[in-house]
Amino acid sequence: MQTLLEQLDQGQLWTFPGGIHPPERKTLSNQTPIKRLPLPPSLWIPLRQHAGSEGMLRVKPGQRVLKGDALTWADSPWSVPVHAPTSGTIAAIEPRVTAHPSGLRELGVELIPDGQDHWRPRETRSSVQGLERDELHRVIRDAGIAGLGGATFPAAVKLAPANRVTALLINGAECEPYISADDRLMREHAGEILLGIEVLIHMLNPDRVVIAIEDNKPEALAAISKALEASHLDQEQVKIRSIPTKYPSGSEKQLIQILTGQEVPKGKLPVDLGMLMHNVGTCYAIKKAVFDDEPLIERVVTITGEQAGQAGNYWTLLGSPIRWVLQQSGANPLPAQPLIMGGPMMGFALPDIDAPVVKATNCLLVPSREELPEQPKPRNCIRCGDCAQVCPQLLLPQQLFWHSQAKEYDKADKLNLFDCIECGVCAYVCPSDIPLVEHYRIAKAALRDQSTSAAKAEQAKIRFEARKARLEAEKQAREQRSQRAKATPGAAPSAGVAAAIAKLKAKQAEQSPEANEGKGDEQDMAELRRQRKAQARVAKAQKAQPSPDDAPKAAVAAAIARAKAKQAQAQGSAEPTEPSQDTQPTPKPSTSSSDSAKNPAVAAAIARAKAKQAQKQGEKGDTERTRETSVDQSGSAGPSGASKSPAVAAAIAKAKAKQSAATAEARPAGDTLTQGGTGDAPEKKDAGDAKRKAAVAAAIAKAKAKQAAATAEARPAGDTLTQGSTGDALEKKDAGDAKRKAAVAAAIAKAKAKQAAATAEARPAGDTITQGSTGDAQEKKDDGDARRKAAVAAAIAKAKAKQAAARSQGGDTQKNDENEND
Amino acid sequence: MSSVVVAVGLLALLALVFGVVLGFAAIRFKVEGDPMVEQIEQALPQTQCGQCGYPGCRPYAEAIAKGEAPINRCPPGGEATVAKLADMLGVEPEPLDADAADSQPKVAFIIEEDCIGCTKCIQACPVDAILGTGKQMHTVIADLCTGCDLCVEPCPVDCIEMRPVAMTPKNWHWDLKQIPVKQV
Amino acid sequence: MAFKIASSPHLSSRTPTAKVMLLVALCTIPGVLAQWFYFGWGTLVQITLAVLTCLLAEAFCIRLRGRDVALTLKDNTALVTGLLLGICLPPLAPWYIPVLGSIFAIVLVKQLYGGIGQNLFNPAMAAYVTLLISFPAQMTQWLPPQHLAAQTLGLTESLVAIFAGFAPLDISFEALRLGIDGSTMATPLDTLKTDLTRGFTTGESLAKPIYGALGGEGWLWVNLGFLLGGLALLKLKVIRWHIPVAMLGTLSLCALLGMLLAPDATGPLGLHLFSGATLFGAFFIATDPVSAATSNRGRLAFGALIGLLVYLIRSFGGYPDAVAFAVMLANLSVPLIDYYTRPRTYGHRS
Repeated sequence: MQTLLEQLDQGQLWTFPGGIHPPERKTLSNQTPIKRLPLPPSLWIPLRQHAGSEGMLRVKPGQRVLKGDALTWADSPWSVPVHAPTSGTIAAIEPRVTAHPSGLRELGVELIPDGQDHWRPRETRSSVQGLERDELHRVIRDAGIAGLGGATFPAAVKLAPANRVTALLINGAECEPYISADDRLMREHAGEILLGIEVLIHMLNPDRVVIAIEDNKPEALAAISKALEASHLDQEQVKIRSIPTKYPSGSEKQLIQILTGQEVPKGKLPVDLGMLMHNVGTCYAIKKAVFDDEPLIERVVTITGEQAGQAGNYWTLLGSPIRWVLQQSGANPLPAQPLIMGGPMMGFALPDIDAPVVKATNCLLVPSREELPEQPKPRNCIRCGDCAQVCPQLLLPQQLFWHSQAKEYDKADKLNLFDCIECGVCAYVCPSDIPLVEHYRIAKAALRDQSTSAAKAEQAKIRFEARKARLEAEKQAREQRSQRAKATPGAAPSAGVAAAIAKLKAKQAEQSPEANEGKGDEQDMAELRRQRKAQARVAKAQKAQPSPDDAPKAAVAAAIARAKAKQAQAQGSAEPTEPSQDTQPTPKPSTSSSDSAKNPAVAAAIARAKAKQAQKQGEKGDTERTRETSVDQSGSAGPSGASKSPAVAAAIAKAKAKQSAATAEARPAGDTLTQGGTGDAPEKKDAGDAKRKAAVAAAIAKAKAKQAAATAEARPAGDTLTQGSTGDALEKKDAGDAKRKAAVAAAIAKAKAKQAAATAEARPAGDTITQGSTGDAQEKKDDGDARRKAAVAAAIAKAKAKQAAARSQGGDTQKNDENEND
Repeated sequence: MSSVVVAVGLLALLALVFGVVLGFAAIRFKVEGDPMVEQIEQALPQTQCGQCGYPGCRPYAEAIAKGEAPINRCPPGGEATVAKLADMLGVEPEPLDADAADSQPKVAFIIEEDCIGCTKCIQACPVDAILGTGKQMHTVIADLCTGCDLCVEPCPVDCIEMRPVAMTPKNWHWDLKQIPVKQV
Repeated sequence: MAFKIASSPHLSSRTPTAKVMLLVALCTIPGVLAQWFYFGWGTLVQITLAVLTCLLAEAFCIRLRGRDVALTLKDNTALVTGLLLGICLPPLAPWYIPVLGSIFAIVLVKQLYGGIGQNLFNPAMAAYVTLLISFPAQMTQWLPPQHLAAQTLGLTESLVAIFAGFAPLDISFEALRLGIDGSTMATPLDTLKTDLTRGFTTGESLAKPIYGALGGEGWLWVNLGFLLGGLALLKLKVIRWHIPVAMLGTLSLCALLGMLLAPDATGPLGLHLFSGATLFGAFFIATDPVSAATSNRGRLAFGALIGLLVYLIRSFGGYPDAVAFAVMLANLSVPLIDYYTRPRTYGHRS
């Protein structure tokens, strides 16, 4: 048994089963030297031009780049950067149709060349001696080199093999008809290719290097042989093999079989056999990257076919529009004929002529009708088995076809569908003109889809189980806590708040005799009063709002002094009414637990409003906070709190609970919010007037729609809470209910505005929106005031909504108060 | 007369013998658990969406195994799942219960400008695929989203919508006939 | 303008089914000519009738199925089916034999299974077997080679005999079967079978004038004609060597074994190879791609099975010639053969 090396040294060649000899037609394009295309008017460089994931963008539109500047950087081994093919300006970064059979869009960079073609500073090398493998690896990766043979596998990944490489195979077979890019490259740049191979030898230190060239390229073979003699490479180590012309000998697996007689086992890589294969074009690119510090920004493209005009090979910048490239060669693509990227066997029909040249573009085939006559309609398979005879992978194409066509993908998979290399020989020989490869591709895509969705389902199941376990654990923890809490009642978390509320209630009873009249009407009356208060505040706010867009408003409310006076008035009127509102914290805890389930929208709104209030509260200022603290610490409305309205105290107490969360939010934004809310900073309000209206309208519309949906669902008719609020929201024009609906809407709107403010911290619009929406809501309450009736049944839900609004008002009031103190 | 007695006696004896054999077999070859449930669950898409009326895929699988639930209650799985279940259970495939007009895979998408940070969707998500916390904008981790649309309903401001999974060159289905013919 | 979107490969070798079938039809010419020379005009009449009926039946079925009639007829498969069936029929069989056989071949065997490519059995052979079972008398009306016959029929007489029977000709079929020497003649294989069952030895039977040098008078040349056509098919790469070689090899091996073990009770090798439908079957019937095995190894097994069955049925069965039965039985085992002869995919362990 000879070893692989001995066999390689003997020059023994094997063959692979099957294969075909299609008309080569390479002389169309391989007779003339490689020409260089001029700079295109614009380049569009897709971020992903290889098999893998795109890199991370590192340029911005408008930025100037030099030739060779990286546009992306590789953030994973599977990503490969792309580079600016010339100097110029980044015009746009957007998805466009890329060079892919699907015609789908992918993100890319548009570069307008400045015509200077100015290189970035380069660091050339004359030798790789003394360079670390890691360093070379980095250079090759950063140069964006992907396999140029067609598969565009990242070269750097291949060059970090897990095994020792005993045989480095260089693929110069170029078996596909028509294409002559590698042929011309070998003829004209044999020395550079060998330098690239030298880099690979330096990195991998293989025992043998075999350069395989099909025997239909004698000139290329001669050129490489000559260059090898002239080079200082070890001729014992580097061998050149002329292999018989047969399609698809250029396929990696088949070429390995030809050169070594070995098959790459299923699921393994050539490197597992100690072999590694690179294309000659890749070797050239590696030479350019390592010695000349030139990243992969151009490649040889064969433009051929009988309609190609000046058929030949062209150095083409990656990203050149194919339309422009074809114009340069004088090509005249025919309608209703495919325009093929790649060769006639494995290339794909371009769906869009505006797609760019990419790293995989080895050929553009512009066929005439005679050379590529229209494929007849597929007919029934006659089981002739010719496809199985020519399949280099020894598959059963017709069985695969039956299963693929019948969508029995699992059966196709069992017949090793995924070993198909899509070389197309089966369809080439098919007497029934069945597009076999297309069927296989569809089946493969479906199978891939199935396996990803199966993996996803598995993952979802795991996550679902994990979540269930977590919820269960949380529930148990809660139960334990509540048991402990029962055991020690003083430890209840809301004790402080509850105490504060109790105090406030006592106060309220003293301060407002009205609150005692009619228990059932109490909440409605409280609302009524709050409306009144709100009305006053709105009037004030509006007057205090000098909006340049709004002349009357500006005229009325220009003076801060007047606003302050009004404010004082409003405060005075509001204060006695406040206590009744404060009776509501008592039902609130229960509603938030039971009612929120029934009416999430309202509950959410309340939650939002509370949060917002908390934020305001938290960021009010030092004086405020000291007051709060004193209130809280005393566990009651303490002496300092006594000077405030009880509402303020209640708000403070609530806010305390929320404060820790609230502090995370941007303080400056909060501060401006506060200011806007008081109407004390009129200069801030004018900007967002129109905007806020829109925002409020949107919010109301959303809430309405939501609630409409909620009503559509069968809910217990007796659930007056929900009904009440839903109805309110729906009948916006109904002035009698307008207040409640407005309160809900306002709460949502405020919450949203606050959210906006919180996310975009310094966004100036946020404060005005917040203020505005509050004001808007109050306007609405205001007009319905007179017709307000005592609707007992809907009391709790309504009250809750009100409360939310009111509490923020309370905050405002407090601020007013504070301002006055200032 | 005696022949009748003999016949009856023999039959009784036979019944006894076979009864013992059956009883022994039932104990000896007892199947632990219900492998059917596992198999059915494997066939379900694991969206945990509850659209079948059961809280999750596993309970639905159990119900199917017990014969309590029809096999056509899984809209995310679509006709393919019904067919698979029918094949597995040896029953006729039934048309899908829900109107599965488009069985296109979808993922939830949160319109971030509208999100108010209420966390309701987070609580609704059966697979913890929504990221966010109170008062902070939420977002869907699209790779983990099963497209069950359970988060859409709870959103108070309707800022969640189900969007079809975008077709990219990577997950393209080689549907050459779907490519719009571009007039050049 | 719009570019065409098509899947790779964009090239094709352009050897469509129609061309393949036409080549098959053309390659039968030497054998058919020999048959005409030895067995008279009846053969050509049978072929014409069968081909016409096949085309009509195919057109009718395709029409019923709502497909493109012209496109389907152009694939020449119905033509080949009719041709092959016609070649197999006795020259003076009544007109309804080719007509019924053709209809059966196209409608039941081919189109009911889904048309070209879907049929389990070789349509011509299935039809032949059906006719043989349904019309045993008419289907064994083979004549002696013309130069051995006492009386021969011209074209017009043949037409009359086929369409109107022998009565208008004022001649009986038995009279036609009489040889120059006055003995009733059947096919060589039939004669041998009859003689062996009567207790004669092979040697005694072979002394009869119906046997020529190898396969019997006339039959040798007919078979050589089909061999020539078959070699042309091989040369044109319309068929591959596996099935004919395996079939003839197995048959030869069995015949040789028989000659060694029981020379008096079995037919000689030459008779097996060059008589009856052996070479016609090996190159034109068994190689029908639709009903044959697909992989090379499978085809070897398929051919060998046919060869074995032919010998077994000829030697031990009730029918003197057995190619049609053997092919049909082998057709039945194709799925099994295909299953066990899958090639080992590249990179997979065997």
